Amino acid sequence: MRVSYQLLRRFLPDLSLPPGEVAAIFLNQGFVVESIVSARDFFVGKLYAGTLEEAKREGAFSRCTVKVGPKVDVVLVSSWGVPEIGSKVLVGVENGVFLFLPVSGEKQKETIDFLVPLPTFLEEGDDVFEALVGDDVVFDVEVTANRGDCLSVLGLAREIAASCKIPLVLPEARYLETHIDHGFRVENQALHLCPYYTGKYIASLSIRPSPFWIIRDLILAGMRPINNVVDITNLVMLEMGQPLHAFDAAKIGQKTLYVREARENERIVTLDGEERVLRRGMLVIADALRPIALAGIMGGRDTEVGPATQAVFLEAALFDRVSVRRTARALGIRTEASSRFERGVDPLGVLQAASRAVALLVEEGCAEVAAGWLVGGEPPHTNREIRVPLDFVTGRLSCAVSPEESMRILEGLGFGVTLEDGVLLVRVPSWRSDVREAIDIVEEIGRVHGYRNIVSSFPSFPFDPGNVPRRESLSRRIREHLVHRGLYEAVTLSLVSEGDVKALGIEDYIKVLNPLSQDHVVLRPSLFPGLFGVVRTNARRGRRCLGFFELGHVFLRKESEYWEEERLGVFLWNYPQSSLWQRIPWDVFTLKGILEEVGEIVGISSRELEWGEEPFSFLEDGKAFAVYLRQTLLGFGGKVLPSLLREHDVEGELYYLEVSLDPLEKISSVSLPLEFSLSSFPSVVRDIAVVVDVTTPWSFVASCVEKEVQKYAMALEEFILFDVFSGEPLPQGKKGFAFRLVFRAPNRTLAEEEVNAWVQAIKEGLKQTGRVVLREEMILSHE
Amino acid sequence: MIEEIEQYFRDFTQELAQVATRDELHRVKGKYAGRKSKFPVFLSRLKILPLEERRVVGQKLNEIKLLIEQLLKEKEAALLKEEKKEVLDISLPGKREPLGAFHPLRIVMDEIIAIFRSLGFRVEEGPEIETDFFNFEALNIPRDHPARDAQDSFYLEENLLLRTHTSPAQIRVMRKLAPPFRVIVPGKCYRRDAFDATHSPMFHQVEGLVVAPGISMGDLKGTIEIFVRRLFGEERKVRFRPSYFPFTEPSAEVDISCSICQGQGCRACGEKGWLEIMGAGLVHPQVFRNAGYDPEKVQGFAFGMGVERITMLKFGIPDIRWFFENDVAFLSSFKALR
Repeated sequence: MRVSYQLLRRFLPDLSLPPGEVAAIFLNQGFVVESIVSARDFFVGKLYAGTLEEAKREGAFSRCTVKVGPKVDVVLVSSWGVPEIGSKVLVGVENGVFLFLPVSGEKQKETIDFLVPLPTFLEEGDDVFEALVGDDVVFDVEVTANRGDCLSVLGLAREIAASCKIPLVLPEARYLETHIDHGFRVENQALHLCPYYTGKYIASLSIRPSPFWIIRDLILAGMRPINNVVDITNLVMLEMGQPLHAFDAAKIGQKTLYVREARENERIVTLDGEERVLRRGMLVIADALRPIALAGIMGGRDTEVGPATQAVFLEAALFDRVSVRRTARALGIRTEASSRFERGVDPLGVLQAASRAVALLVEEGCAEVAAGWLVGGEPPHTNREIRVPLDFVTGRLSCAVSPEESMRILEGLGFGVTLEDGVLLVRVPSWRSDVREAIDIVEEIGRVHGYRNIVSSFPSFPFDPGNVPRRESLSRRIREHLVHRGLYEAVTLSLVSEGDVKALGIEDYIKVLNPLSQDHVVLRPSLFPGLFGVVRTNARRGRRCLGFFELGHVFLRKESEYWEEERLGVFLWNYPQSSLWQRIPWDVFTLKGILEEVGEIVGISSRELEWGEEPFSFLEDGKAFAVYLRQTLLGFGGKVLPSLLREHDVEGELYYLEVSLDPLEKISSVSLPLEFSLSSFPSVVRDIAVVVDVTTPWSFVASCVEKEVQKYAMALEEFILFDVFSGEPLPQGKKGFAFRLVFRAPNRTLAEEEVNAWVQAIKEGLKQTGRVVLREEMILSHE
Repeated sequence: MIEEIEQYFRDFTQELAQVATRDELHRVKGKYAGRKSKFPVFLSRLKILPLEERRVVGQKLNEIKLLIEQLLKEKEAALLKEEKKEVLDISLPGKREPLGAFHPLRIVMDEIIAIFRSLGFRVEEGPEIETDFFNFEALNIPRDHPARDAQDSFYLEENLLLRTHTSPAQIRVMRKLAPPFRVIVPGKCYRRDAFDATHSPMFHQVEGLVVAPGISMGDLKGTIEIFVRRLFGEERKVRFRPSYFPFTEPSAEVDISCSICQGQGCRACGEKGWLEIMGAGLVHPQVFRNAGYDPEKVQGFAFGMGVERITMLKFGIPDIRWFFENDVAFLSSFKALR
């Protein structure tokens, strides 16, 4: 809502604060002032009184010659907008060019609607800038959704009045009525959507340009001047917050205005020239034949007030806010009127605003005003009274505001107040539908008294043991570990493109019904698309060795069932950071290692994880795996398809791992008492080397060793693979494993013979499988 | 003659002090300890001295000779040791593991959580896919309410959407816990905003909710002041000003003073002097009723802050999109403790 200081003063004649302090009051009472702009900035810098020398009729236009001193310009003006020859008109001069609507940013047009008339006492060439624009400023005030009443000069002025303790004065609204036998009537058939509809017949109008003071107010408020009748309805809407509409009375069929719901597919061409197709339930004003206005939103073009208009029907009504909002949104229109109705207008202010408009019309256009109002319905009763104990006010606000101050504030805002036994009895004014209960009154008092007066405290509280969720500790440990392992934590958008998800071979995913862009349509069912985007971004910027991870929700669906799951995604791209030395490239085993490390953090031994080769559409065959923990899928990973990398200009090799956190958390939350074995007896170390076929996996050898260990209840402390070898001197098709066994008993020193027997048992066990040969027993070619 | 011998020794020590290499040492050794030294001359002159004097001078001469030999030996050992010593170039790069970095949003989120936890708050969670009821209705934002304009939502189904704020967790928490409680709920939110320097379709919030009998605006203000000073530093000022949220009454917007001008207005803060960091207020009685609480018996305050905005202010990050690009050059700025 844009309001100028001078316009505020029309309601606050005693206002003397500088604009900066007025803005501070707005801010402190809950209205952010977006900007304070000098009124000068809205107009071109030089304004003069010009003389209309000549006007030659050319069809609907007149070729007008306007003179300012020695300079003369000729412009085509709609004939209705041309004053008498010899009149003074407004001329702005910018870069030597005449502007007849001298608004900043306005281009001079070939034809214009009207010349702005100036008082005749001015001399040609008079500099009228100071007199017309002067030292004014315009506040752009942000009005919150609950304060429809402040979408008006009146509402904003009331806020200032309450703060400054100065009187609020309403503008004049007096006029004389005559009896006219016009025959118009109103039939309100939709009282549920329009409780109160009223209007007045006004005749003998002459449509002219508005006087400059109205044009000035409209321009400063950001509206375009049209003609005196339309401008007056707009000005009064700005002043009072009540949208008004004037219909050309001659164009209303059968002199009857129906307030009714639209019929399905009924059509109307609105003032902006658009044809609107209506749906059942939208509220319209109609004559006997067709809709003539979208109620509370926009008038129809057929009944528009134009140069030929001689009589108008001036509408002032209360339209249901939800109805206006739904219709405006459905049709994609938002107007000054609709935004006011949406937030609610003052039900008891309807006639007052309409009267102000009538008075201005009489003042400007020697109009004849028909006696009485045509009415359909009645304004709803708003007689809300709220009991507010004073200690409730001070208690909730935490500040010592006195009873007198509280009453003064409420009265200043237009509330009726009486004080009885420490309880405020507050009568809510009709324009404050947002005030419903005692706490709302607390806010009103607090707002004007000032939030700076709230005394800070800290809530006193009984002891709360609090919580540290297991999940939070778990994810923090994992994040810390990965960062210390050299990976960067990423945060990517949960919304990804449909193509990226389809490329993963995922069929069931959740789509947004109303996406903003095709890049953000699907809720990610995997962290892959977002993280791959991070790799691409960094590749574009010339980097090629990075590790990333992200911890976040993925969104899954099975038919109509949706759920969220937290996952860890890891990308390893080429080498651990770019350094020239220690270039050990990342590979599938780094992924496996990371998962084992995460498992270790949670307390899962790597033996509990079951790995299986598994194909994924975006991972290279034979280099992709899935991991299971107790028959539950824990994660998957592998080498990303080189073709996918090429497609996106990513160089080198890329490895991806995705792990679900839920199964990890479940395991980690089982906290058994720990068994410690802190033996101080010496250990015995034995290494064994074996040779197998290349197709035999390490797990075969390992499980065989473990079986023997269990069978003989060996005191084995550690069992580590430390070398895998192949090639010379081993024959083709063979590979070797070297592993270390560390024995230690908790309660005694192990005897040499005992350990020897164990090692022998393990060796025998391995040999008996028929697939394992001891390295020491193998005869190699060169031996 | 004693004087002469002492002078000879002084000359020796002076020359020895200059020695830096074994070659030079060799030369000095020849000059003071070899056959070409002055000792034979001194010895021959000794013979002609009277007996009493000869004894004294001879003793002196012997002392000096031994001393010179010892010093030469020591010097030689020192030089030898120096030659054998390995040259340590400590300027070479260290052997190290590469260090990654936490994401700045997570750094700040963790810090916010830590501050509130230390103030006795619990940490709870809520789903990102929400129902219209929790996201709007229960928070006193009915359908067709103009307040919905500010929160354009991504819908998945008629009544299912991506939460536009963390506030629905207020209702979930109230249903889960019994008062009194202090809770924060961090998480992701979504609004139908196109990407620009200050808007993102996805962002993070931390919601706060305190419910107990007698909670007041002063409690809210005090709590937020402590939080702001802890997160931004003691010198920051906090300003409360009235605002409107359908689910709080009275409602407030919380500003902090600009780090550069401290409220005076400067170019960094667009001449405003203050920067908005969160919305807050007392829990609206209707929200209590919607959650099944009696607003006569308990009161509460709630707040919601945008983590992106706070992170941008804290680190001087000019563009919200940087958070989601994850350019490693940006991320690596957060390796150090900030």
